[in-house]
Amino acid sequence: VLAERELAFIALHKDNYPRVYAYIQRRINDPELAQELAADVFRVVWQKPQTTKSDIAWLLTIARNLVGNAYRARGRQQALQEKLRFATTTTFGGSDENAAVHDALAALRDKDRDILQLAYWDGLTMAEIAGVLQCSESAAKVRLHRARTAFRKNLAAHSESISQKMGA
Amino acid sequence: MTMDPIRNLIAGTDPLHSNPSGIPEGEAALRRMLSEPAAFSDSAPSGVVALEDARRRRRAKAAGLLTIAAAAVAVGVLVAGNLGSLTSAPQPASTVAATESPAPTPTASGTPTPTGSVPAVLTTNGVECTVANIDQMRNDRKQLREPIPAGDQKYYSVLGCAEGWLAYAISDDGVSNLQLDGGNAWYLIAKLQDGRFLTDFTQVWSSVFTWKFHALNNDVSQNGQQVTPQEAMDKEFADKGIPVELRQRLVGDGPAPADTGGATFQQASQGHMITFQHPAAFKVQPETAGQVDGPLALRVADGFDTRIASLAFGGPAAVDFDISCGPQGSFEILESVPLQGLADPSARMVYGVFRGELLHGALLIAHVEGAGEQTCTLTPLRVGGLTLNFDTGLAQPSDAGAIDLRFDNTEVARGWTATPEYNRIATVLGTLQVTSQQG
Repeated sequence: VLAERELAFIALHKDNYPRVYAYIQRRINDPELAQELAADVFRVVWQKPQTTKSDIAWLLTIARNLVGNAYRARGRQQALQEKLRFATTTTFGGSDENAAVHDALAALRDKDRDILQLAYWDGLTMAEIAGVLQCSESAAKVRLHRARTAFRKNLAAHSESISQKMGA
Repeated sequence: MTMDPIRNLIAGTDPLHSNPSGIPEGEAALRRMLSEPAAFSDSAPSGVVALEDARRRRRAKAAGLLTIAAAAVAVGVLVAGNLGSLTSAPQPASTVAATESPAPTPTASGTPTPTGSVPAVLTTNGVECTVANIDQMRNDRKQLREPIPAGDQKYYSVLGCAEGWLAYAISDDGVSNLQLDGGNAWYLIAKLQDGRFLTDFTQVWSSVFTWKFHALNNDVSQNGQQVTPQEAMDKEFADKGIPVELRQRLVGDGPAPADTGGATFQQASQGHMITFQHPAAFKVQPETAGQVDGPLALRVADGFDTRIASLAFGGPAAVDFDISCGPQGSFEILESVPLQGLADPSARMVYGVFRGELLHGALLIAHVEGAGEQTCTLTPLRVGGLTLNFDTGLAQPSDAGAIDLRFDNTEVARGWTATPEYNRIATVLGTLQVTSQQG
């Protein structure tokens, strides 16, 4: 019987590892640490006895906590934001547009940035976002709407040309 | 690209946007996770799980108590140990045990197949297929190509080789002593390069699941997958770029279909024969003592003695129900499968959730009237005028001792259908057959 749980665990890992790893790597931009934290997510899962959960929202909730722990200290958090900004601008050819988008994101409240990234980086459905943020689906919709509004406002402040593209 | 400019702008700054292929291969990550002695990499993930245990074990290990494994190792021992003990799958066609000698061409003690068609020492492209001729390249920073250390060679055995490919396995002792705890779920694969075989752990072809894994993972009686271990192995070969036509020569024929570990329940009741399949670890017991050939009331429990289903046929245990479904109803159907083992063509195995603050899931056999319409109805099946129930439980909340199928939302409930647990239960219900014994 134990082996059945192990097989379920292997299947869970197989189905979800790429998304868990990608979620973490997007937020810390450190492939080695991302691999370690992704492994930790599945260790946590393994330690949950008798769990029947297998949804990506639950896995990303654990990942979110682990990333939060790794970067909880304010100084490390700021260093991470700088690193991500640098990566954004260098990876995408130093485009002003991406730097402006990054700045607009960085200026958001954490919870607004969080939901925008869950939706548009990780491609989660509204139900999955609600699962990660541990709120109802309708609350998640409202939060996403507010975050979009705040982002639009920030972007207008950072780049007039892009906000024109958005029709603002 | 969507027409949503905000989505497009933010997605454009996704750090993985320009390099989606930079995600490590999951199988290698799992193997690494199981084989690394390190515990958690974070400092204190409060509220997630108690990690003090892992640290305590790590400290104990550092103090020399090597019998206490670190968290990751414990996982691996369980995975490897249990995968290794559940079934006795036949060995591949030929097994050539390595000697402890570090000599470049060790004497192999062959255990040829009964046909004797495989020589004691296999060769491919002129190179002897021995453990001493295998190099390994770890998926780490160094990526050094190194022979399997002479002292470790005794733990490995060559399964087969052909046309420049070689498959080999590690023994349970090796798994334990080398702390490569996930190793027994896989056969290792090496490729001939520069006169020696190389297992390059950065490549997906460096391993395939063992027959034991494929037999369990694809056992229809356990999880409903309709492929044989051989089909699963061939698919894995093809997916990983290993020539499928070499499968038999590399890892052998695999287990016979009879080794898959299922069981059949059969009992006569009121002129009918009730039959269904279940995993061998499950137990089927009468809920109450009954007369021979009388009404039936059964409890089906898993290996933890959790009731996963109840069956009632005739008598007071069988209940009538009338459950409204569809968008307006109290029950949302997530899966509906025709039952082949009943004469009634409208019989279905249905999985869905009762709506409410928390969703209660249930699998049941039923008639579905008006499926796909605004309102539909689930009613019990009737066989020979007798009511037949077979379900995971319709009570909300679930009875004590029964499987807990509460879900936070529909997506989670739907996601459960992808789990082996769901497949096992669905298979139990889905294999129900009722045949008349009269005439």
